[in-house]
Amino acid sequence: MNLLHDYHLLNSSLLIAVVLFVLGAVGFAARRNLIVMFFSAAIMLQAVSLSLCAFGNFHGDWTGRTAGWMILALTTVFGILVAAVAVVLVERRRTLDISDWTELGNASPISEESDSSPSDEAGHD
Amino acid sequence: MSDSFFSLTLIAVCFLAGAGTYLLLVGRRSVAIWPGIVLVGLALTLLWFEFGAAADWWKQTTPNSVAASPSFIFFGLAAIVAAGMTVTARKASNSAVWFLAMLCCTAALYAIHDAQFLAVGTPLIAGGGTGTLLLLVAQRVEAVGSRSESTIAREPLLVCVCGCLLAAGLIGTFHRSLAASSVSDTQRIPAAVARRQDRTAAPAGHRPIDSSHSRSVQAGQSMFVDHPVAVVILAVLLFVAIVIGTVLTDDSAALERRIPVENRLPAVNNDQQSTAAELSTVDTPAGETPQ
Repeated sequence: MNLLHDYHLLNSSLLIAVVLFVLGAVGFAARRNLIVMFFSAAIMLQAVSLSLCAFGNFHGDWTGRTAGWMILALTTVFGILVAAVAVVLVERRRTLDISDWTELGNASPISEESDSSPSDEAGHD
Repeated sequence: MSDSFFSLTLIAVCFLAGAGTYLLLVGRRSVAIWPGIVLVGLALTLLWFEFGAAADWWKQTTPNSVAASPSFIFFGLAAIVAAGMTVTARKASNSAVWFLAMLCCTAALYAIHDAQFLAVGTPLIAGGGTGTLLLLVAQRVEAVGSRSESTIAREPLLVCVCGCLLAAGLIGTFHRSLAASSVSDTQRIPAAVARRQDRTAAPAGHRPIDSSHSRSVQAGQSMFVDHPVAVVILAVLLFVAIVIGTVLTDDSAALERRIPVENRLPAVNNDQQSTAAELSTVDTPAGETPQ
């Protein structure tokens, strides 16, 4: 089998990449779990990497595969940061719901607690 | 019907189905469910009308094309199914396992595309490193909320069976890919490089990769000679991410120690912990808040 200039292989790979990208985009937009959102973004990155590999293979060029390595490294960077943020979320809120970040704000919990009056605390609860 | 028109129609089907699914996810118990139903119905109608064209297109595919091989079809469909399960799984740990399966399928597709290094690196780095790390984080949250029904669920068994099948298929694909490349490299790669050199002149400062070298030398030359700046930038990014991750987690632990006991988050007993873990792993669609 000759992989070079295999138009049908390129076409089929791009179709798979488009489906993967759409699935990742839908997951990233619809889910609120931090880890699932990361997985959705990683699916989108894998789709881009797959399309780059397909184009590189089609043209007999190594650049697409090299770009795939770069995307893999970017996914690792993203994963490290998401893991750290997930640990912080779990430590502080005992949840992975990304919408809880809106409650954290910029103020530290100590000053926020000390500045608030008992009536305010009752109102927040 | 041309291939490009067929591809564009399928892309339109994918986007319509994606948008409809999103509206169905977001707009349940509201008015937005009807546009979602209309969009998904439109996508299914388009797909139904294109089914005949798809059969014709598949018949026209040359027998020598790799796209018609069973391994490509299997791994392509398996990647799509695994990605769908990753996005729709209710628990984050199940989503992580499906994500690992999707990475294995994508690695097989990389091997089919003659990118063996990327095929090896994807399960090792993205799957073994990042995916497993996040799987552990998800299990840490769910540990206190594990219930008896999770041990008899069908999903772990299904994932194990799928994982074994995927591993067997991946190994077979590697064997076939390596055997094919060792036979046809001498005819295929030099001709490819020669055609590329004839078609476009190399830019100034760009040295074309010598195809007489091994694949390791070609990959290394492409990364460290042709694209050294990108490699250095990514190395710096990795280092910065590691430092930021360490500082974030260290600050979190220090903050927990600094906060007086009476000002911390209310302590939860086992029942509340299980409820909290259940809430944390079963997330809600956009625009809704957990009850």
